[in-house]
Amino acid sequence: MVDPDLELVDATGRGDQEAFEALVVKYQGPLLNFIARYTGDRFIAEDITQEVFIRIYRAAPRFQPRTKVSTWVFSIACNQALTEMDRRRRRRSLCEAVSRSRDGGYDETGVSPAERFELEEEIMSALGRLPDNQRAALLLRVNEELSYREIADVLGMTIESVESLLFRARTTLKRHLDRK
Amino acid sequence: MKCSQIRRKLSAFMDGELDGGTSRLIEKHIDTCPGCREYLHEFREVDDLVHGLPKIELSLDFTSRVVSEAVKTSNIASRKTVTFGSSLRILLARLSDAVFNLFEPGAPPSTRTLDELGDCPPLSMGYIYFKILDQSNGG
Ligand SMILES: [Zn+2]
Repeated sequence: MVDPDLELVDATGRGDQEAFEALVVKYQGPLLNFIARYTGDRFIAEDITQEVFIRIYRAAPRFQPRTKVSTWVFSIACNQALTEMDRRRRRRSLCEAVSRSRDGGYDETGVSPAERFELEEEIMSALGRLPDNQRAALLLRVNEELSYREIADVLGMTIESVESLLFRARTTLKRHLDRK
Repeated sequence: MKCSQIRRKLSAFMDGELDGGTSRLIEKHIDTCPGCREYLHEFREVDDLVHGLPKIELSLDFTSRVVSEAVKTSNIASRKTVTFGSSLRILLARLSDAVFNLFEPGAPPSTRTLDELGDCPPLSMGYIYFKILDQSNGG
């Protein structure tokens, strides 16, 4: 099966801006939502999404066609989001004095202000307490409908590890939702 | 298979990632075991909740902004590459890489080696050095 996005990446690598724009249009929504849920911070998601596309544009000439384009795109997104989360965690541990609530994101422990967001917030905070790789695997599976093989490629692990991550993620969330 | 073994497989079962034989075995088991059926039901509920999280929207000018930003920044990057000798660049990139690693001990090793991330922080830091050099040399 030929990957339909391959041509777009190929053309992007040759400097074709229209092809790049088509690639952006195709992946911007999924990437934004993946990153927002992965980092737990919708306010930084757009900036990270932009950074991901800039990396895609620069790396396109070196793209290896044996990789699926979607897998490649999400692996760049995972890396970029992880880098940003690392940076924020480090910054937070350096300046504990700074108000936590201002930063948003998963480490926040505040109570939801509006009731209609309660369930959403509960899921987001339960998601946020999962280890990064479990959360990434679950979002890639449930929202992006990637196969275990594809998730394994994105996260650089074996299919067996993906199976185990997903089992543990779902078990933890199930337990958490049971308790409420 | 015992219930505990079945349950370990339910996640892969609902994802359609099991071979036909195992899949049929599980189907047969959950037909007769209310406990495991409930377990599967709750797994599906978890997925529904995650899937049902509200979608957020991009700003209206996102696409055009990204395209122009990508073109702009990569033009700058390639100009730098042309301006400086590659051996000096590699040396500086390695140096900055080493410095960077001092501050990034927890960086995930499996993801740092990806080819497409060749221009990730270490090399970018190298570029900052060039920029400084560039300015001190008067362009
Ligand atoms: Zn059972």
